[in-house]
Amino acid sequence: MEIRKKFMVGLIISSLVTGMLAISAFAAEKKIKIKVWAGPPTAYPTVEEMLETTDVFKARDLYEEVLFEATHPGVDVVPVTWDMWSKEAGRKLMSGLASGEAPCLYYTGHIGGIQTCIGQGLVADITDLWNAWPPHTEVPAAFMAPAMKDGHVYAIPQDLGMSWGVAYRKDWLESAGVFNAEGKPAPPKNWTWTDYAKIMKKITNPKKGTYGGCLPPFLQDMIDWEWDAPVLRPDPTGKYTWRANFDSIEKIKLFKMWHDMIYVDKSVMTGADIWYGEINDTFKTEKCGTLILKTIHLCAPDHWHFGKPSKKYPHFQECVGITFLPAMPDSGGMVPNTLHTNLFAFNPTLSKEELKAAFDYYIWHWAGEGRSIYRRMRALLGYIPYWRVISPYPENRHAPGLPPFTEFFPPEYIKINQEMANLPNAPRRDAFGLSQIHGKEFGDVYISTAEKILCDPNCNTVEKITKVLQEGNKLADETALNYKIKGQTMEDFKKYYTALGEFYEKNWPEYYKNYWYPQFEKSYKVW
Amino acid sequence: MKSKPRTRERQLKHKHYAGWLYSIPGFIFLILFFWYPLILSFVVAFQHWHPIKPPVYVGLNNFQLVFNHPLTPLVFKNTLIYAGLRIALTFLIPIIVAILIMEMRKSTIRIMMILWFIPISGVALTILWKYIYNPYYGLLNAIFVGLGFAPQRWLSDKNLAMLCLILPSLIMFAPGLIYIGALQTIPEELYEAAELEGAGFWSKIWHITLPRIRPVIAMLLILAVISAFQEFNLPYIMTKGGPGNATLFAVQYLWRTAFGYMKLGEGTAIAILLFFFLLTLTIIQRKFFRENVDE
Amino acid sequence: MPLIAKVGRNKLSVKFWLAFITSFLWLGVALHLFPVWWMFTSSIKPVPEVYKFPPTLWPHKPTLVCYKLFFQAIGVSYKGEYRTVLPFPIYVYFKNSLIYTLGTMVIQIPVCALVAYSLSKLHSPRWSRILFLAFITPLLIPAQIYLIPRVLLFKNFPYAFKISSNLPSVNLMNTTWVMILPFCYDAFNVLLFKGFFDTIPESLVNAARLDGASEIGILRRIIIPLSKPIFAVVSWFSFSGLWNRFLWPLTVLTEEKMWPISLRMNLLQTQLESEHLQAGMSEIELALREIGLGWNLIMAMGIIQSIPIFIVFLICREYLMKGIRLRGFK
Repeated sequence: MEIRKKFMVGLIISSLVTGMLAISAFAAEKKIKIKVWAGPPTAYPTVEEMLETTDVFKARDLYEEVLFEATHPGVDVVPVTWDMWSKEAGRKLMSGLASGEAPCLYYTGHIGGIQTCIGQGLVADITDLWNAWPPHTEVPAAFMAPAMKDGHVYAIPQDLGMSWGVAYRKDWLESAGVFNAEGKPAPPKNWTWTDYAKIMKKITNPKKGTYGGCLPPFLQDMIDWEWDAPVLRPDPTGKYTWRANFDSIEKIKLFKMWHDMIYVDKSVMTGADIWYGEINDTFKTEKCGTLILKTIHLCAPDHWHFGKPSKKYPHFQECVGITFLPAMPDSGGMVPNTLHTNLFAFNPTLSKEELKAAFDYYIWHWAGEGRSIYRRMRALLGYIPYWRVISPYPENRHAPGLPPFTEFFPPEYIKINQEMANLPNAPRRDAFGLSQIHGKEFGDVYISTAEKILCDPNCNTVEKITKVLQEGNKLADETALNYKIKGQTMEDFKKYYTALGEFYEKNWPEYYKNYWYPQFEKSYKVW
Repeated sequence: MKSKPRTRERQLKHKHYAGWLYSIPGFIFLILFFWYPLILSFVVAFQHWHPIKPPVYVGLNNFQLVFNHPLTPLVFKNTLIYAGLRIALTFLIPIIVAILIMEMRKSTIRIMMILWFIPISGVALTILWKYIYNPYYGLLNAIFVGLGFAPQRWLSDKNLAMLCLILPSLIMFAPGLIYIGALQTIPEELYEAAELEGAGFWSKIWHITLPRIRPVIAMLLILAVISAFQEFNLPYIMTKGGPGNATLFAVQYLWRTAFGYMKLGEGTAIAILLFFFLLTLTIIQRKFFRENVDE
Repeated sequence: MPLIAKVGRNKLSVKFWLAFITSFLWLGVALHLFPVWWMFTSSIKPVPEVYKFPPTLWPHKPTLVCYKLFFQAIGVSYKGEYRTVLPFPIYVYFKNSLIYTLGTMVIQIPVCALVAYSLSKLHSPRWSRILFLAFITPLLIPAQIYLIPRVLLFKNFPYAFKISSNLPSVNLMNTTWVMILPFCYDAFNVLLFKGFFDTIPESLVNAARLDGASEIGILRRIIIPLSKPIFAVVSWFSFSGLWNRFLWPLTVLTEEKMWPISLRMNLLQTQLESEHLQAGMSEIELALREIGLGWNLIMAMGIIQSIPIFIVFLICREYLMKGIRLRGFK
């Protein structure tokens, strides 16, 4: 209690002093105003009020703002409370852009995705700024690939990186008798969807009303979206760029397995009305034994509340383990590299100076001094430091001067996270000039197709599933994929698919043999 | 005797002036905050709109795209089915309830009015229903299982989802209150007089109650039709148009097109189609009821 | 009372019918109240119980933690640390909501009543028909579509574009006006008022006119006393509509200290559902997640948000009942 109060008073006083200094020293200069959305809320009009609520994070925000202004003379940071995440964020952003109220940096996922926005000219080109920032070479290519087009950079990653994984309850697996080769309650290494289905069946308890997992239809699209999943094929006629390929060999197989788990084994939950929040809640409230999730949730375990799960595993980290996504059966354990992050683009209406200031601010805020202030403060207060094993910015991956990861995360978490980060990186479409625009529209078609299969108990044979998937193909072809990228030729496809084929042959020969090559012969080879 | 026509004339003039005078404040607000933005947004339907760059005129291209879109017929079919079902299933109930409530004692009316028409914030109620419908831990399935029926999948069932979206509007409490307000204006003497003539329960409803509240019914029918065709919140919160586009309605569709896919022009074109459709319906409805009222 | 004959009330068949109607009505009441009851019990359930199947009718361990979150202004305990859940104490949001709602109603209800009255009784039938369509057109268009032009309008009031810098214009974003002006006219209310005024016989107004009453006099002495119930209904409708506004404040208010309660609540709810929840920067949502709240918190929000509407409903109902006693065609 004491240390925190002292720390806060120190923070506030120093921030005020630096603020005063900054203001008096540079008052005469004309300042560049940048609107930042993750800045301090205007909640507390007085310092006393802030102290009363003992809300340290507000103090940190204020301190950050003042410090940045002091170290970057000529920049005025104007914080705005901007809703960037809710369901209405897209609408708000569009009206904000039209009226000039939008902040200098925003998330484009709600207005069609970054590639659509690049095509429409809704994001600023920051290639020069990005290249002039020395540590940019240390940012893994997987994070940046979706933000690039023709060698230009259009967005910066957020400070946290994610990958898709599965969380499981060790106590549930133990009582159901599921052990791996080492005798620990965990799914086997390199597990497949067949193993997944078996484990789900074992840990489901109809008497208690608990299920193995939760596989809502939208999850299909969410996971596939993070890597170049085989849901697209090149257009053989050359009239369009892409055609939908929902009925690929592995998708049909996967849908059939999911459908059997839902309706035959009755071991997983599904539903058109289940969204992200609910699948999280069902896991946390002990309705489900496993959860398909982004690893970010496990790198910040202080954000989890789990009560006291069981006597043997009293703490969250001990009770919940994480592992990779299951692979397709007979694929040699091929797990896609789903490393990704939220990409933030800059407002194209900013002037050159404003753009530079905004870029500096966010790099400072996410990967520079701002971030280390935040981390140090959290550590000082006894919170789990806010760093990640997986992160785009090297600054966040190893934090000098702070206690090591192992004090907060079990070694197995770190190991799995590092393995996920080090998965081989498949060549991405974007790097070959073959970006997929209208991603959101395509995703909606995909989700509705998945709903038609997973929400319908009668759609239970491979033939029926294939038929629905082909209908989905037709719909996607006519709507979201109804375009051709300018200047794109068959040569691009040849390069892309050759590179992809080589990649799979080298890393996962079994997957190459059983899934990729047959699909390649069937639909990819158009040149 | 001579001055009388002049006063009559003056009175009519006053009536005329007062009519326009009373409309002016409404007019100002209407034009400034409705018609002006409306016309601006109608222009968007003929443009390729862009939030930052100047818009490009594209003529009827947006309408063409909407007409050629494979989902458009499905969406309008869904909307029609939903609106038809909702009005057929829910419109009459508040009228019946209001008439029946009036039969109770005064003190009972007071209590019943609270209990039947208890207000809950709309979004909260929708979320509540989503919770009740949940196939795995929802209340409705618990009741079904308790009564010995097979559990249903409610919102995830493409045949049931539409009905599930109607049920909450069955408990849309508001209209009943208006009917009660309207029923209060019927003088009791009328019923007493009818009673002396030997009119029974049904003939009283048919000949006194219903004609008296017909304008209110007409008005609420217009409102019910409009709000059913423009339903947005229920599918938006509960199903987002799923499963497999089975509950994708016009407004959700235009919202998705305009703000999700950044095609404001196309979205506006859908809105204009919906607008002309509703305008026609309203005019027909007013014609129909006018003849009856004037008889 | 009017439908069933007074004289024969003691007859057995009439008694039977009366009992049948009464039981039907009470059954309906029960069906109506069940969701409300469900909302309340869910809001006081501890987390795991919310997901129990079959659900419990009354929580085994009732807890008020969801409500505490809003009223304490401080929230979540983690290792003895506290963080705010709402950036402002809840009364700030309530105060904003009240200002916006009552401020709008004071202008909106007279404006709409006057328009409806003139349409119903004063204009010639032909004009009335034309004007009526003009006045209710806003109802026919999904409000989603003119959101952006309206935002532009308020940014550069009273023009939607920056035509020239010589013309005077004001930026009304983030002011109280932006929450009041666009709602001063409501086609829905006009429709309600007009529907009611149409039931008042023309002869009543004409008789008063023949007696030499002025137009204002007619309005004040005859129409307003007669239409108390509809004023009550409209003010309740308009209150609940205005109180629940979410989309518009989200779009135009960027300063949280200006936010109404509905926006704060709805945003919490949508953020609880959001996929980006833990990737976002907001400490508030993280804090809520941390104590593991789901449906119960949302239900508590719904109840808190509904309480003012319920109070206004009670007041308006009183006026409705009074309206009965005041009336008379004798």
